[in-house]
Amino acid sequence: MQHGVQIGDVLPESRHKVTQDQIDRYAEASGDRNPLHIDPEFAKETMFGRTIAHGLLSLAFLSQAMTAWDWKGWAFGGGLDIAFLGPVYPGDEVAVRGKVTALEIGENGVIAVCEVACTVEDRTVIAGTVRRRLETA
Amino acid sequence: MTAYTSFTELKIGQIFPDPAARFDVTEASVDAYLGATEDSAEIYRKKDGPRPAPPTLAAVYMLDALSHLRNPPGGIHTKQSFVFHQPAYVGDTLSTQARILETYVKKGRNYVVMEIVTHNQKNALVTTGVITRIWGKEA
Repeated sequence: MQHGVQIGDVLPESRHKVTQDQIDRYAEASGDRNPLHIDPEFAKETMFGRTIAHGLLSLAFLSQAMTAWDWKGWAFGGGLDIAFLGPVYPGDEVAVRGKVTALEIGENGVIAVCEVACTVEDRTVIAGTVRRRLETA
Repeated sequence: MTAYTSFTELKIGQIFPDPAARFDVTEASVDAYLGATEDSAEIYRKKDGPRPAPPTLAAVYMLDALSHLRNPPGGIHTKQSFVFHQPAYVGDTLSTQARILETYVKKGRNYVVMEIVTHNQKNALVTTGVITRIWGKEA
């Protein structure tokens, strides 16, 4: 197998400690200044009771794992399909894990499909699939 | 005071913004994103040749386009899909439009499903995606 990827391969696990300072910096960098993320007084009145990180910040951690695995296969024809299942609070540590569950042949070549999850302790905060292109057709 | 869009005003098939939102991929915007996400990958700091942005910079230019819909504060993402057709590079000007695919109410919450499409200045497809959001609470 030229691409060297097999079903059952596991992505290297990565961990990311999230702080309110990082959430504030992400709000500035992304332009997403939703008060749920950066205003403790506003967030106190929501169902979360306190500020939460942007879901797209945790998604960036997932992208970092894919970049480390194979940037070209991620940036040229890769993709993701995920659900945000729970909040990440300041102080939480997000663990990113993934496993290859299928190899598909599509019009753009061979694609590795990975089931992925971001967890905080025993809570899953993101789950879904990511796709990495292995070969062009 | 900002006027927010009511959930009841959203229309299936509605395309926005028109014209498409333009986003300049600059050294500063990529550096800020890398700093905020604490991304240390060398590929995004390339100095010899075109400097690519992380694919998930899409989160930034997508929200820039979606902000034209004036979502009330407090809304959250529930689902996201992206296809990264090719990287955006520093120096690119991206054009993004969104289309409302679906609206629905579940457990008393208002959901909006939107498709986004981003092209670069050569009109080549960069990113497509579908986002599901809970609409912010209206006063």
